[in-house]
Amino acid sequence: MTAGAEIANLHKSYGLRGRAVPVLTGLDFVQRDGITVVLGPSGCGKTTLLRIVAGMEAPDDGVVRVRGDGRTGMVFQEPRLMPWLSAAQNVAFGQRRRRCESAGLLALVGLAGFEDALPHQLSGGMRHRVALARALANGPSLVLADEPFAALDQDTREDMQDLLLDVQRTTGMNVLLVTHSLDEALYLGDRIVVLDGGRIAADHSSPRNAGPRTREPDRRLAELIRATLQRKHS
Amino acid sequence: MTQTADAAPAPVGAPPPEAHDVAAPTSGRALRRPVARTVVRALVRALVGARYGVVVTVAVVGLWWLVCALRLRSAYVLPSPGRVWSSAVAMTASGELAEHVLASVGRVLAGFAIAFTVASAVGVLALLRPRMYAYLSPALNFLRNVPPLALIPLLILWFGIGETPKLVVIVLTAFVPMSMSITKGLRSCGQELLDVGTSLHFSRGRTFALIELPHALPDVLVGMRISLGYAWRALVGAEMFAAASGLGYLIVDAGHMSRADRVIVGVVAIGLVGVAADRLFALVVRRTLRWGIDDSWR
Repeated sequence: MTAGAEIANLHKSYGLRGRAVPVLTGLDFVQRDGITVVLGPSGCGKTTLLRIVAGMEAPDDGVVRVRGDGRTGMVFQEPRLMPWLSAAQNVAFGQRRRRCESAGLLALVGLAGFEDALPHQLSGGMRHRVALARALANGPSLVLADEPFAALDQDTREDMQDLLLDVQRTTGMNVLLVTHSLDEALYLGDRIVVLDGGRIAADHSSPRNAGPRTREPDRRLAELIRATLQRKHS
Repeated sequence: MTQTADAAPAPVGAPPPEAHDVAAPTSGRALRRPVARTVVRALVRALVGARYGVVVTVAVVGLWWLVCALRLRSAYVLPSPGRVWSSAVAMTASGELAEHVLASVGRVLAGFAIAFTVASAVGVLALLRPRMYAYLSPALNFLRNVPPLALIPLLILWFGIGETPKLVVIVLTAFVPMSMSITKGLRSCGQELLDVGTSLHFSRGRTFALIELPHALPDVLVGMRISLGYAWRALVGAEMFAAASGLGYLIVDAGHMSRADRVIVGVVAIGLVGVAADRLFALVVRRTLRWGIDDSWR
């Protein structure tokens, strides 16, 4: 296995009106190669898990290790581009990267010729493409994505999902992506981990890569995951 | 800008389907235009844009001329526009007006630079050491509500009648709005952008230099612009006490000698220099900053 997250007995709580609300309760997880999707309803701890893996939050207890060369990229739900920087400068943000390299990454995400455009000159979908290019800028072996397409309309979302699959195949990077969309999980995931109540409720390998790419979901797997989620909430 | 929908999944490297929604990237050539041409264009644009102001000015001067022509007020109290114009020409030709303008501008620039330095330090303190800033905050609030001109008698007692009290008045006047804007700008950077720095493992220094500081720039510039106007107005008040040069001195001295024509020349010069300084500052900001510019900078 190459880069990925390894998590053992992870605990995390947030303080709310003077009492601790547990979000992650003893989570164990070892990421495998490909795209791993963490699926779950809102508030189940998906984003917290990702932020802890990214080093943006500290766990209360447990062990989190990122396997590999340590080069990670992060894609947020919103593009979060620096409004004062051009698209190329955003891609190179915080790194010693030449303009031509940034231009190459922008071309990879379909934005050749827009190197000098400021974020407010780009459409929402294009800003997300720049954010993806920025996450790829340090040649990451692991990309962490926090509901990266949730704010997009359906057509743009599907386009971005295809782009992520293409880039993942081209670069060979691993991806840990959280989402609350079952359709997105089924389309993107090589592996789907269902998170609920701060723990892993189900862990499925997806046959997505075995056949040609299709938006027709694996009905058996979809039913299985739906049943898991309903069982947890009934 | 509206979000646009892509009709079909695009292959890697394909042109973005939302391209119709996008403004053309700004050409770098536009930023390298000769300065002279830029200034001339700005002046022409200002004149065209100021046509309504010209109408009002002509009306006011016409009314003034009429009052004088009908002798509704004595020439001692209200000299005619012609008389004021003659005085202005004479003062300009002798270099007297320029001397006073330069003295005032020099004081404003010195006071403005000191105020900017102190306000920046306070802003950085508020960002990096909020607890220390909490000690300072009540004093700053107090200062904000005390007109610096009210301190002039005390400043003269403490510092004499030299340049220092005038400089202190300018610094205090310019400092307050600038400090508020810089502090607000530095502290208002959203967690969303700071998270990007965290995900890139930025140090505190890099987060400040690469995210918080550029993010604060529009607020800093607004504060500087407001302070420039405040400093200019306060300066004239400061020069009215114990000064030997400057536009404030010119006005007070002319008043003592009952030369209303010279008073009016001084008042008009103050207004024109203030407007010119503001427009020049706005022009520089417009030419250098590519984001965070709203209509108030036009």
